[in-house]
Amino acid sequence: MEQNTGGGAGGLTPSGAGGVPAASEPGGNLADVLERVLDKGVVIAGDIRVNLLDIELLTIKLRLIVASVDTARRIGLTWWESDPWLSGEAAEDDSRSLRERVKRLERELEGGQTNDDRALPAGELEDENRALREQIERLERELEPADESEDG
Amino acid sequence: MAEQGQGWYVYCVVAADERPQLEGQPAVHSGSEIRLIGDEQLSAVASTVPLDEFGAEALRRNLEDMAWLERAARSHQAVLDRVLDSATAIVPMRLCTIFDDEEGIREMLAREHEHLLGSLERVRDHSEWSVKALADPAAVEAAVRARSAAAAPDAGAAGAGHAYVARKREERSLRERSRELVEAAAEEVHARLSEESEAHTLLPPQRREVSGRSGEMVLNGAYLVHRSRADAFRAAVAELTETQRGVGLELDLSGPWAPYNFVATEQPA
Repeated sequence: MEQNTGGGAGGLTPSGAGGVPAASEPGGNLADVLERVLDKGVVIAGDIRVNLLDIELLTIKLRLIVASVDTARRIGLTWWESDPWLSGEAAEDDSRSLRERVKRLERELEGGQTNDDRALPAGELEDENRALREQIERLERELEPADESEDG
Repeated sequence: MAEQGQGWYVYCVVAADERPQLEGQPAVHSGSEIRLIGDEQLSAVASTVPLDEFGAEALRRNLEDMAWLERAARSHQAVLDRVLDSATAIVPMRLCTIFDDEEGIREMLAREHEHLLGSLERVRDHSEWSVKALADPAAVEAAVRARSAAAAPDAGAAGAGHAYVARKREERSLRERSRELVEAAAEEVHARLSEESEAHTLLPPQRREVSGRSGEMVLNGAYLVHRSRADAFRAAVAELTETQRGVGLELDLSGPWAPYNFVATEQPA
Protein backbone atom coordinates (compact mmCIF):
# COMPACT_ATOMS: atom_id res chain seq x y z
CA MET A 1 0.00 0.00 0.00
CA GLU A 2 1.12 3.54 -0.64
CA GLN A 3 2.05 5.59 2.38
CA ASN A 4 0.05 8.74 2.90
CA THR A 5 2.64 11.37 3.59
CA GLY A 6 -0.01 14.01 4.11
CA GLY A 7 0.30 17.54 2.81
CA GLY A 8 1.24 17.59 -0.85
CA ALA A 9 0.55 14.89 -3.35
CA GLY A 10 4.29 14.21 -3.27
CA GLY A 11 6.06 11.63 -1.20
CA LEU A 12 5.51 8.82 -3.67
CA THR A 13 9.12 8.48 -4.63
CA PRO A 14 10.34 6.46 -7.59
CA SER A 15 10.52 2.84 -6.70
CA GLY A 16 13.81 1.13 -6.10
CA ALA A 17 12.30 -2.28 -6.94
CA GLY A 18 14.85 -4.36 -5.06
CA GLY A 19 14.67 -8.03 -4.20
CA VAL A 20 11.07 -9.02 -3.87
CA PRO A 21 9.60 -12.08 -2.20
CA ALA A 22 7.28 -14.55 -3.91
CA ALA A 23 4.71 -11.98 -5.07
CA SER A 24 5.45 -8.27 -5.07
CA GLU A 25 2.63 -5.82 -4.56
CA PRO A 26 1.26 -4.12 -7.63
CA GLY A 27 2.66 -0.64 -7.96
CA GLY A 28 6.15 -1.41 -6.75
CA ASN A 29 7.68 -0.99 -10.16
CA LEU A 30 6.88 2.22 -12.03
CA ALA A 31 7.16 0.63 -15.47
CA ASP A 32 4.60 -2.01 -14.45
CA VAL A 33 2.19 0.69 -13.29
CA LEU A 34 2.63 2.85 -16.38
CA GLU A 35 2.21 0.03 -18.86
CA ARG A 36 -1.19 -0.59 -17.28
CA VAL A 37 -2.60 2.83 -16.40
CA LEU A 38 -1.52 4.38 -19.71
CA ASP A 39 -2.07 1.53 -22.13
CA LYS A 40 -4.78 -0.64 -20.58
CA GLY A 41 -8.03 -0.26 -18.76
CA VAL A 42 -11.24 1.01 -20.29
CA VAL A 43 -10.97 4.04 -22.53
CA ILE A 44 -14.01 6.20 -22.03
CA ALA A 45 -14.06 9.67 -23.42
CA GLY A 46 -14.28 12.06 -20.51
CA ASP A 47 -15.36 15.68 -20.82
CA ILE A 48 -11.73 16.75 -20.64
CA ARG A 49 -10.20 15.51 -23.87
CA VAL A 50 -6.55 14.58 -23.73
CA ASN A 51 -5.21 12.00 -26.10
CA LEU A 52 -2.44 10.20 -24.28
CA LEU A 53 -0.95 9.29 -27.63
CA ASP A 54 -0.35 12.98 -28.30
CA ILE A 55 1.83 13.37 -25.27
CA GLU A 56 5.39 13.56 -26.47
CA LEU A 57 6.98 12.25 -23.31
CA LEU A 58 4.73 9.23 -23.30
CA THR A 59 5.32 8.56 -26.94
CA ILE A 60 9.04 9.00 -26.87
CA LYS A 61 10.07 7.76 -23.46
CA LEU A 62 7.53 5.07 -22.78
CA ARG A 63 6.87 3.65 -26.18
CA LEU A 64 10.53 3.53 -27.04
CA ILE A 65 11.61 1.99 -23.80
CA VAL A 66 9.00 -0.69 -23.99
CA ALA A 67 10.18 -3.01 -26.73
CA SER A 68 8.06 -2.75 -29.85
CA VAL A 69 7.42 -6.41 -30.42
CA ASP A 70 4.23 -8.37 -30.15
CA THR A 71 5.22 -11.47 -28.33
CA ALA A 72 7.98 -12.83 -26.19
CA ARG A 73 8.74 -15.29 -28.92
CA ARG A 74 9.45 -12.43 -31.28
CA ILE A 75 11.82 -10.66 -28.94
CA GLY A 76 13.64 -13.93 -28.52
CA LEU A 77 14.92 -13.37 -32.02
CA THR A 78 16.85 -10.23 -31.28
CA TRP A 79 17.49 -9.70 -27.64
CA TRP A 80 20.92 -11.32 -27.49
CA GLU A 81 22.23 -9.20 -30.34
CA SER A 82 20.80 -5.96 -29.03
CA ASP A 83 22.26 -6.47 -25.58
CA PRO A 84 25.26 -4.10 -25.30
CA TRP A 85 26.53 -5.94 -22.28
CA LEU A 86 26.55 -9.26 -24.04
CA SER A 87 28.04 -7.95 -27.27
CA GLY A 88 30.68 -6.23 -25.13
CA GLU A 89 31.57 -9.61 -23.66
CA ALA A 90 31.71 -11.14 -27.10
CA ALA A 91 34.01 -8.38 -28.34
CA GLU A 92 36.28 -8.96 -25.37
CA ASP A 93 36.55 -12.65 -26.21
CA ASP A 94 37.33 -11.82 -29.82
CA SER A 95 39.98 -9.34 -28.79
CA ARG A 96 41.65 -11.83 -26.46
CA SER A 97 41.74 -14.58 -29.03
CA LEU A 98 43.10 -12.24 -31.69
CA ARG A 99 45.81 -11.01 -29.34
CA GLU A 100 46.90 -14.59 -28.74
CA ARG A 101 47.02 -15.21 -32.46
CA VAL A 102 49.17 -12.15 -33.07
CA LYS A 103 51.64 -13.31 -30.42
CA ARG A 104 51.86 -16.73 -31.98
CA LEU A 105 52.32 -15.29 -35.48
CA GLU A 106 55.03 -12.94 -34.21
CA ARG A 107 56.89 -15.83 -32.61
CA GLU A 108 56.63 -17.72 -35.88
CA LEU A 109 57.92 -14.72 -37.83
CA GLU A 110 60.87 -14.17 -35.49
CA GLY A 111 61.83 -17.80 -35.26
CA GLY A 112 61.73 -18.19 -39.03
CA GLN A 113 60.02 -21.22 -40.46
CA THR A 114 58.46 -23.43 -37.86
CA ASN A 115 57.91 -27.12 -38.10
CA ASP A 116 54.20 -26.46 -38.64
CA ASP A 117 53.73 -27.36 -42.28
CA ARG A 118 50.44 -25.47 -42.30
CA ALA A 119 52.24 -22.16 -41.58
CA LEU A 120 51.66 -19.39 -44.08
CA PRO A 121 54.50 -17.88 -46.17
CA ALA A 122 56.20 -14.96 -44.36
CA GLY A 123 54.65 -12.25 -46.55
CA GLU A 124 51.16 -13.48 -45.90
CA LEU A 125 51.92 -13.77 -42.22
CA GLU A 126 52.96 -10.13 -42.06
CA ASP A 127 49.82 -9.05 -43.87
CA GLU A 128 47.61 -11.10 -41.63
CA ASN A 129 49.44 -9.88 -38.57
CA ARG A 130 48.85 -6.27 -39.55
CA ALA A 131 45.18 -6.93 -40.27
CA LEU A 132 44.78 -8.60 -36.91
CA ARG A 133 46.42 -5.68 -35.10
CA GLU A 134 44.00 -3.29 -36.75
CA GLN A 135 41.12 -5.52 -35.80
CA ILE A 136 42.28 -5.63 -32.18
CA GLU A 137 42.58 -1.85 -32.03
CA ARG A 138 39.08 -1.48 -33.43
CA LEU A 139 37.66 -4.00 -30.99
CA GLU A 140 39.38 -2.31 -28.07
CA ARG A 141 37.94 1.03 -29.10
CA GLU A 142 34.49 -0.54 -29.24
CA LEU A 143 35.00 -2.16 -25.87
CA GLU A 144 35.79 1.02 -23.97
CA PRO A 145 32.29 2.50 -23.80
CA ALA A 146 30.90 -0.91 -22.91
CA ASP A 147 33.35 -1.19 -20.01
CA GLU A 148 32.31 2.18 -18.65
CA SER A 149 28.63 1.33 -18.78
CA GLU A 150 29.33 -1.81 -16.78
CA ASP A 151 30.52 0.23 -13.81
CA GLY A 152 27.99 1.35 -11.27
CA MET B 1 -4.83 31.89 -18.44
CA ALA B 2 -5.12 28.81 -16.29
CA GLU B 3 -8.44 27.02 -16.42
CA GLN B 4 -10.75 27.70 -13.50
CA GLY B 5 -12.94 25.52 -11.35
CA GLN B 6 -12.91 21.80 -10.80
CA GLY B 7 -13.57 18.55 -12.58
CA TRP B 8 -14.23 14.97 -11.53
CA TYR B 9 -11.54 12.35 -11.95
CA VAL B 10 -12.84 8.77 -12.36
CA TYR B 11 -10.60 5.86 -11.28
CA CYS B 12 -12.82 2.89 -11.92
CA VAL B 13 -16.38 1.63 -12.00
CA VAL B 14 -17.95 -0.94 -9.68
CA ALA B 15 -21.44 -2.38 -9.30
CA ALA B 16 -23.75 -0.17 -7.23
CA ASP B 17 -24.10 -2.80 -4.49
CA GLU B 18 -20.34 -2.80 -3.79
CA ARG B 19 -19.11 -0.98 -0.69
CA PRO B 20 -15.43 -0.24 -1.32
CA GLN B 21 -13.61 0.99 1.78
CA LEU B 22 -11.95 4.25 0.83
CA GLU B 23 -11.51 6.10 4.14
CA GLY B 24 -8.16 7.84 4.32
CA GLN B 25 -7.17 6.84 0.79
CA PRO B 26 -5.19 9.69 -0.83
CA ALA B 27 -6.78 10.97 -4.05
CA VAL B 28 -4.93 11.88 -7.22
CA HIS B 29 -5.25 15.48 -6.04
CA SER B 30 -4.29 15.60 -2.38
CA GLY B 31 -6.95 16.87 -0.06
CA SER B 32 -9.86 15.66 -2.19
CA GLU B 33 -12.18 13.02 -0.87
CA ILE B 34 -12.81 9.88 -2.92
CA ARG B 35 -16.53 9.30 -3.44
CA LEU B 36 -18.95 6.99 -5.22
CA ILE B 37 -21.14 8.61 -7.85
CA GLY B 38 -23.68 6.61 -9.79
CA ASP B 39 -27.11 5.19 -10.43
CA GLU B 40 -29.02 2.07 -9.33
CA GLN B 41 -26.63 -0.31 -11.03
CA LEU B 42 -23.22 1.29 -11.37
CA SER B 43 -20.93 3.45 -9.26
CA ALA B 44 -17.94 5.44 -10.41
CA VAL B 45 -15.10 5.84 -7.90
CA ALA B 46 -14.19 9.50 -8.30
CA SER B 47 -12.69 12.59 -6.71
CA THR B 48 -12.56 16.27 -7.56
CA VAL B 49 -9.53 17.78 -9.26
CA PRO B 50 -8.67 21.45 -9.88
CA LEU B 51 -8.74 22.31 -13.58
CA ASP B 52 -5.65 24.48 -13.31
CA GLU B 53 -3.83 21.17 -12.84
CA PHE B 54 -6.15 18.68 -14.59
CA GLY B 55 -7.76 20.75 -17.33
CA ALA B 56 -6.98 19.82 -20.94
CA GLU B 57 -4.30 22.45 -21.32
CA ALA B 58 -2.65 21.80 -17.95
CA LEU B 59 -2.72 18.05 -18.56
CA ARG B 60 -0.84 18.37 -21.81
CA ARG B 61 1.89 20.12 -19.89
CA ASN B 62 1.80 17.97 -16.75
CA LEU B 63 1.80 14.65 -18.56
CA GLU B 64 5.14 15.67 -20.06
CA ASP B 65 6.55 16.01 -16.57
CA MET B 66 7.85 12.62 -15.46
CA ALA B 67 7.57 13.44 -11.74
CA TRP B 68 3.96 14.60 -12.11
CA LEU B 69 3.13 11.59 -14.28
CA GLU B 70 4.61 9.15 -11.78
CA ARG B 71 2.74 10.74 -8.88
CA ALA B 72 -0.56 10.62 -10.78
CA ALA B 73 -0.02 7.06 -12.03
CA ARG B 74 0.86 5.79 -8.56
CA SER B 75 -2.12 7.51 -6.88
CA HIS B 76 -4.45 6.13 -9.56
CA GLN B 77 -3.01 2.66 -9.09
CA ALA B 78 -3.18 2.89 -5.29
CA VAL B 79 -6.88 3.81 -5.40
CA LEU B 80 -7.61 0.84 -7.66
CA ASP B 81 -5.65 -1.43 -5.32
CA ARG B 82 -7.70 -0.24 -2.40
CA VAL B 83 -11.01 -0.73 -4.21
CA LEU B 84 -9.90 -4.19 -5.33
CA ASP B 85 -9.39 -5.13 -1.67
CA SER B 86 -13.06 -4.73 -0.88
CA ALA B 87 -14.95 -5.19 -4.15
CA THR B 88 -15.70 -8.36 -6.10
CA ALA B 89 -15.30 -6.74 -9.52
CA ILE B 90 -13.83 -3.51 -10.80
CA VAL B 91 -13.43 -1.98 -14.24
CA PRO B 92 -10.33 0.24 -14.26
CA MET B 93 -10.32 3.48 -16.26
CA ARG B 94 -7.31 4.76 -18.09
CA LEU B 95 -5.26 7.49 -16.39
CA CYS B 96 -6.82 10.98 -16.42
CA THR B 97 -10.43 10.20 -17.35
CA ILE B 98 -12.05 13.45 -16.23
CA PHE B 99 -15.59 14.87 -16.34
CA ASP B 100 -16.93 18.38 -15.91
CA ASP B 101 -19.31 17.48 -13.11
CA GLU B 102 -21.21 14.68 -11.39
CA GLU B 103 -23.84 14.87 -14.08
CA GLY B 104 -21.18 14.12 -16.70
CA ILE B 105 -20.24 10.95 -14.82
CA ARG B 106 -23.88 9.81 -14.59
CA GLU B 107 -24.37 10.40 -18.30
CA MET B 108 -21.28 8.32 -19.04
CA LEU B 109 -22.51 5.48 -16.81
CA ALA B 110 -25.87 5.50 -18.60
CA ARG B 111 -24.25 5.61 -22.03
CA GLU B 112 -21.75 2.81 -21.28
CA HIS B 113 -24.17 0.86 -19.12
CA GLU B 114 -24.19 -2.39 -21.07
CA HIS B 115 -20.48 -2.40 -21.81
CA LEU B 116 -19.53 -1.72 -18.18
CA LEU B 117 -21.91 -4.34 -16.77
CA GLY B 118 -20.54 -6.89 -19.22
CA SER B 119 -16.96 -6.15 -18.22
CA LEU B 120 -17.80 -6.34 -14.52
CA GLU B 121 -19.46 -9.70 -15.05
CA ARG B 122 -16.44 -11.02 -16.88
CA VAL B 123 -13.92 -10.13 -14.20
CA ARG B 124 -16.06 -10.78 -11.13
CA ASP B 125 -14.02 -12.56 -8.43
CA HIS B 126 -10.97 -12.53 -10.63
CA SER B 127 -7.78 -10.57 -10.43
CA GLU B 128 -4.83 -10.08 -12.68
CA TRP B 129 -1.38 -11.49 -11.95
CA SER B 130 1.76 -10.44 -13.73
CA VAL B 131 4.57 -12.88 -14.39
CA LYS B 132 7.79 -11.75 -16.00
CA ALA B 133 10.62 -14.02 -17.01
CA LEU B 134 14.10 -12.53 -16.90
CA ALA B 135 17.03 -14.26 -18.52
CA ASP B 136 20.55 -13.82 -17.23
CA PRO B 137 22.63 -14.12 -20.43
CA ALA B 138 25.70 -15.47 -18.60
CA ALA B 139 23.67 -18.08 -16.72
CA VAL B 140 21.86 -19.14 -19.90
CA GLU B 141 25.14 -19.57 -21.75
CA ALA B 142 26.58 -21.50 -18.84
CA ALA B 143 23.55 -23.82 -18.98
CA VAL B 144 24.05 -24.34 -22.71
CA ARG B 145 27.76 -25.00 -22.22
CA ALA B 146 27.08 -27.46 -19.43
CA ARG B 147 24.62 -29.32 -21.64
CA SER B 148 27.15 -29.72 -24.45
CA ALA B 149 30.44 -29.84 -22.54
CA ALA B 150 31.24 -33.36 -23.66
CA ALA B 151 30.66 -32.55 -27.33
CA ALA B 152 32.98 -29.51 -27.44
CA PRO B 153 35.63 -29.87 -30.16
CA ASP B 154 39.30 -29.31 -29.34
CA ALA B 155 39.84 -26.04 -31.18
CA GLY B 156 43.53 -25.86 -30.30
CA ALA B 157 44.42 -28.93 -32.35
CA ALA B 158 43.85 -27.26 -35.71
CA GLY B 159 45.96 -24.46 -37.22
CA ALA B 160 45.43 -20.86 -36.17
CA GLY B 161 43.02 -20.04 -39.00
CA HIS B 162 41.07 -23.19 -38.43
CA ALA B 163 40.87 -22.51 -34.72
CA TYR B 164 39.59 -19.01 -35.38
CA VAL B 165 36.86 -20.22 -37.71
CA ALA B 166 35.95 -23.03 -35.36
CA ARG B 167 35.75 -20.60 -32.49
CA LYS B 168 33.50 -18.21 -34.40
CA ARG B 169 31.26 -21.09 -35.38
CA GLU B 170 31.10 -22.27 -31.81
CA GLU B 171 30.19 -18.78 -30.57
CA ARG B 172 27.43 -18.43 -33.11
CA SER B 173 26.10 -21.81 -32.24
CA LEU B 174 26.27 -20.99 -28.52
CA ARG B 175 24.24 -17.86 -29.11
CA GLU B 176 21.66 -19.72 -31.16
CA ARG B 177 21.34 -22.47 -28.63
CA SER B 178 21.00 -19.94 -25.81
CA ARG B 179 18.20 -18.27 -27.71
CA GLU B 180 16.45 -21.57 -28.31
CA LEU B 181 16.77 -22.55 -24.69
CA VAL B 182 15.33 -19.25 -23.47
CA GLU B 183 12.47 -19.27 -25.98
CA ALA B 184 11.52 -22.82 -25.09
CA ALA B 185 11.64 -22.03 -21.37
CA ALA B 186 9.54 -18.86 -21.75
CA GLU B 187 6.98 -20.75 -23.84
CA GLU B 188 6.80 -23.51 -21.27
CA VAL B 189 6.19 -21.00 -18.47
CA HIS B 190 3.49 -19.19 -20.44
CA ALA B 191 1.76 -22.42 -21.47
CA ARG B 192 1.66 -23.70 -17.90
CA LEU B 193 0.37 -20.41 -16.48
CA SER B 194 -2.25 -20.15 -19.22
CA GLU B 195 -3.60 -23.48 -18.02
CA GLU B 196 -3.71 -22.17 -14.46
CA SER B 197 -5.71 -19.06 -15.44
CA GLU B 198 -9.05 -18.13 -17.00
CA ALA B 199 -7.53 -15.80 -19.57
CA HIS B 200 -4.07 -14.61 -20.50
CA THR B 201 -2.33 -12.04 -22.61
CA LEU B 202 1.24 -11.12 -23.48
CA LEU B 203 2.51 -7.58 -23.01
CA PRO B 204 5.60 -6.27 -24.80
CA PRO B 205 8.66 -7.17 -22.73
CA GLN B 206 10.17 -4.10 -21.09
CA ARG B 207 13.65 -2.99 -21.95
CA ARG B 208 16.14 -3.21 -19.12
CA GLU B 209 16.49 0.59 -18.83
CA VAL B 210 12.84 0.88 -17.84
CA SER B 211 12.18 -2.42 -16.10
CA GLY B 212 14.81 -1.61 -13.47
CA ARG B 213 15.51 -5.32 -13.30
CA SER B 214 18.70 -7.12 -14.02
CA GLY B 215 18.46 -9.66 -16.80
CA GLU B 216 16.67 -9.46 -20.11
CA MET B 217 12.89 -9.71 -20.06
CA VAL B 218 11.75 -12.52 -22.32
CA LEU B 219 8.18 -12.91 -21.08
CA ASN B 220 5.76 -10.28 -19.79
CA GLY B 221 2.55 -12.18 -19.22
CA ALA B 222 -0.73 -11.09 -17.61
CA TYR B 223 -3.08 -13.77 -16.29
CA LEU B 224 -6.67 -13.47 -15.15
CA VAL B 225 -7.09 -15.79 -12.16
CA HIS B 226 -10.20 -16.62 -10.13
CA ARG B 227 -9.89 -15.94 -6.41
CA SER B 228 -10.34 -19.61 -5.63
CA ARG B 229 -7.40 -20.50 -7.87
CA ALA B 230 -4.99 -17.77 -6.77
CA ASP B 231 -3.07 -20.04 -4.39
CA ALA B 232 -2.71 -22.73 -7.06
CA PHE B 233 -1.50 -20.13 -9.53
CA ARG B 234 1.12 -18.86 -7.10
CA ALA B 235 2.20 -22.40 -6.36
CA ALA B 236 2.65 -23.01 -10.09
CA VAL B 237 4.81 -19.90 -10.35
CA ALA B 238 6.91 -21.08 -7.40
CA GLU B 239 7.34 -24.48 -9.01
CA LEU B 240 8.29 -22.98 -12.39
CA THR B 241 10.74 -20.67 -10.64
CA GLU B 242 12.57 -23.71 -9.33
CA THR B 243 12.61 -25.62 -12.61
CA GLN B 244 13.60 -22.64 -14.78
CA ARG B 245 16.40 -21.38 -12.58
CA GLY B 246 18.58 -24.12 -14.02
CA VAL B 247 18.44 -22.56 -17.46
CA GLY B 248 19.17 -19.03 -16.26
CA LEU B 249 15.56 -17.78 -16.11
CA GLU B 250 14.19 -15.88 -13.10
CA LEU B 251 10.44 -15.41 -12.65
CA ASP B 252 9.00 -12.26 -11.16
CA LEU B 253 5.43 -12.46 -9.87
CA SER B 254 3.37 -9.43 -8.92
CA GLY B 255 -0.27 -9.01 -8.04
CA PRO B 256 -3.13 -9.07 -7.50
CA TRP B 257 -3.66 -6.25 -9.99
CA ALA B 258 -6.96 -4.72 -11.02
CA PRO B 259 -7.87 -6.51 -14.27
CA TYR B 260 -6.47 -3.80 -16.57
CA ASN B 261 -5.70 -6.28 -19.32
CA PHE B 262 -9.04 -8.07 -19.28
CA VAL B 263 -11.61 -5.35 -19.80
CA ALA B 264 -12.39 -4.23 -23.32
CA THR B 265 -10.22 -1.22 -24.02
CA GLU B 266 -12.44 0.22 -26.73
CA GLN B 267 -16.19 0.52 -26.78
CA PRO B 268 -18.61 1.34 -29.58
CA ALA B 269 -18.70 5.08 -30.23
